[in-house]
Amino acid sequence: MNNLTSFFSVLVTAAIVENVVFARALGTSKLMDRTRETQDVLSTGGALTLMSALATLCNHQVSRIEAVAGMRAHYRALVYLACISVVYMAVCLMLRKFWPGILRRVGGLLSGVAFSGALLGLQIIALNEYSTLFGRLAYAIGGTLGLVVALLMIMFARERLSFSRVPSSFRGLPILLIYIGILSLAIYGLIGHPLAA
Amino acid sequence: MRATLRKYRKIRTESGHILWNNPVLTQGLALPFAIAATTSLKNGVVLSAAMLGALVCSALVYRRFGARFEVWMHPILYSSVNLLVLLGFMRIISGWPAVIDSLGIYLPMVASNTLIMHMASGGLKAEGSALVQSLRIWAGFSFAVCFLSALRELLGAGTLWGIPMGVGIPSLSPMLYPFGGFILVGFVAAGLKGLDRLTLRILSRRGKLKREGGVAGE
Repeated sequence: MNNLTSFFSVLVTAAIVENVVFARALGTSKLMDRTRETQDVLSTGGALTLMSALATLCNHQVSRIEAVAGMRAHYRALVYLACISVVYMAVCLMLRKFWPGILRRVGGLLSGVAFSGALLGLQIIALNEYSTLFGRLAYAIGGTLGLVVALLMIMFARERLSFSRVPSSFRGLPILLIYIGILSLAIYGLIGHPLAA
Repeated sequence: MRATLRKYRKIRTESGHILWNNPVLTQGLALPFAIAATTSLKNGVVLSAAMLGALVCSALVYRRFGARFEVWMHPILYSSVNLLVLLGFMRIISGWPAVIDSLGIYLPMVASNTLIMHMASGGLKAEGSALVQSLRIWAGFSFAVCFLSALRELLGAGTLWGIPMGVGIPSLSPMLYPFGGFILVGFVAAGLKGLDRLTLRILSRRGKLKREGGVAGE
């Protein structure tokens, strides 16, 4: 029961309080561009959750190796990136062997998700801030859920903004960034203190 | 005046990646760096130097080995090469621990980001040198990152490269937070767009007036 409570507590922290989009601007580039329909957001979220969970399992094992644990944080981050590459390669090889059609269909989505700043950023924070597999998994999955919620909010905002009377210079990316900035300001008010980089 | 308009359009095309077609401010690539990591000019310069190595190496690998691997393997290829580049880069800047700490999770992200993936997914045109194209993308990224970091440091902390700029500069410390970054990048992107439209409109109107004046004079 206690474990379950702490799991959900970390999950909510990662999803809302430390939302990767609003508090760290991760996943704001191509990932945001890729999500213009609800189905796109949900498929991106699904792929990201799968990759995030697998990468956390792999990175957790690697981080227990003494040589890796003794490294400085920024070097350790590069090891995590190598692990993500290995996980991505394993998933792609498995798909190519058993479901080549699926690889052709979701190959672009998988690579976009696996090598996005959101996944790497989430892995680095989860592995540096939590020491147990339970905590790391909760943070990684919570962070992904937070990202999906943020992307849905951005998608609906984009729709509404396209029907609004916005000055021509602000149309498109500028007004969307200002909108996210205002949402981010609200999240900052909720946290009440700056986040560690 | 038509010549001026033509000249402006030529400059606009040639300097595309730096101003009007900037990968960060117009295309929305590599935004996390511009929004969250550009809190001081030092950060901007370090990010820019790291990205130079990553983009140039990716472009060289793309041209040399790109065709030999299946498309799904390209991201692994680039991130592996950039991982080595970044390892070397971190060794070089190890004397600047404050900057490394300040960049936090954003420095390792140079090895795998949307600019690199943009190139991996066919962002480089078939014609022309891959090296020149990657340098153009880098110039655009560097301009955006260095300009934003200088502006944010000046407005947020009243310093530039850590040197106090004296009194008279209003302290807007929220500029140093991600929400400040989002709003500032939004305004800078809108400003660029507005400036381009205004210049085009002025040049076109002047050209039109001159033509009308010429016709009336005849």
